[in-house]
Amino acid sequence: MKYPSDQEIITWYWARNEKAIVFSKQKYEGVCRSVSASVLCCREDVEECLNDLYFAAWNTIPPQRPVSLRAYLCKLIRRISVNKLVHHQAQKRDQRKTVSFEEAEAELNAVFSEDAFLTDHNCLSEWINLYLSALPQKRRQILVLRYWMCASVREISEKTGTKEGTVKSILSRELVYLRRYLIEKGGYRDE
Amino acid sequence: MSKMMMAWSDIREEYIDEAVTVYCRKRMMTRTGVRILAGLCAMLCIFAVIGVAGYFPAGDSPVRIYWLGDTVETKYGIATYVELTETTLVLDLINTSDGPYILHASFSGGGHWDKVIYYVDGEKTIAPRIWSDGKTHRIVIDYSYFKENGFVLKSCQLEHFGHFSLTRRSRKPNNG
Repeated sequence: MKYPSDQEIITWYWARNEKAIVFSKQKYEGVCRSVSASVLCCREDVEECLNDLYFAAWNTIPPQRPVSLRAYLCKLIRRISVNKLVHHQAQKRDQRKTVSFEEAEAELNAVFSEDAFLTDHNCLSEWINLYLSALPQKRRQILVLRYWMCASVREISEKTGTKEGTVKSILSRELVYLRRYLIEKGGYRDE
Repeated sequence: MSKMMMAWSDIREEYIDEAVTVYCRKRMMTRTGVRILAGLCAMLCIFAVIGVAGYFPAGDSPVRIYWLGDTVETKYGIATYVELTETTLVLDLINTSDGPYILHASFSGGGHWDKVIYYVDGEKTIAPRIWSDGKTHRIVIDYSYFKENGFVLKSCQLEHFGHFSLTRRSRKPNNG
């Protein structure tokens, strides 16, 4: 099936045409579902997040005009899914995370101590972005697949065509470098 | 939720796009793999159909299998497939050609052709001569040697006439 281009769909969002939702759903629901399912265990929660996603997209485009609709929707669904998880934790409801999400979080927690951050969340994101911009594409993809997409090491290995051992060593090394980078920038306290 | 994990949520869309492209590209590869597999299966099916069609060819096929009850008419005569038992094939044959000839049967599935025993009008022979006398001759082809030696026979090819099925299947319901 031939789908309309991203720019066409975004134009429909701007024109408040509901075709935008229909085609966003047809074109990107699969990958958005994967992103949400990498964070949340419960299928009903994933479905709920997908519904919230189209609502959020409808409300944010305009004023936003994303360059890549796919990346924009993926980013939205990731945020919605993480928020749902945080909400569940606050409500002491179903707090289960997916195994790969927990593993990724544990890897980050092993390198970064929670009370050693000297900056807020937005600034931290910006520094991570700057750090990623300096990396070669493959290393960046591996890091993003692991800590943003919460893909397992095996999955990353299959998808990037890199050995599992190499993926593991890239991940551990890059986290140490990122820590050093944050210390250098003054966003993390050297212990 | 750790602060670092939350911070990763807000990375640039271009990096997300890069990663998602890798993620989706490999899924496409998987689909391609499925298509290749489906293609191979389709080819196997075609070969199987060709094999079956070769064994039991259709009416317009160059090779035709005759079944119990069929009558075959060639320039050498008229043969009617009368009966089939575990070890014998029975035909009624009229020689309508100008001269006599010796019947020769060979069997699919292998075997020594000289081990076949023929009966022409009840008379045992290993070289059945059919005279051009316009009479109907009862031909019994006994291939028990093959059965006893474990050959699986599918059809009998009778020279001048064609292939006669030995699998007891028939187009006609009353012939079982």
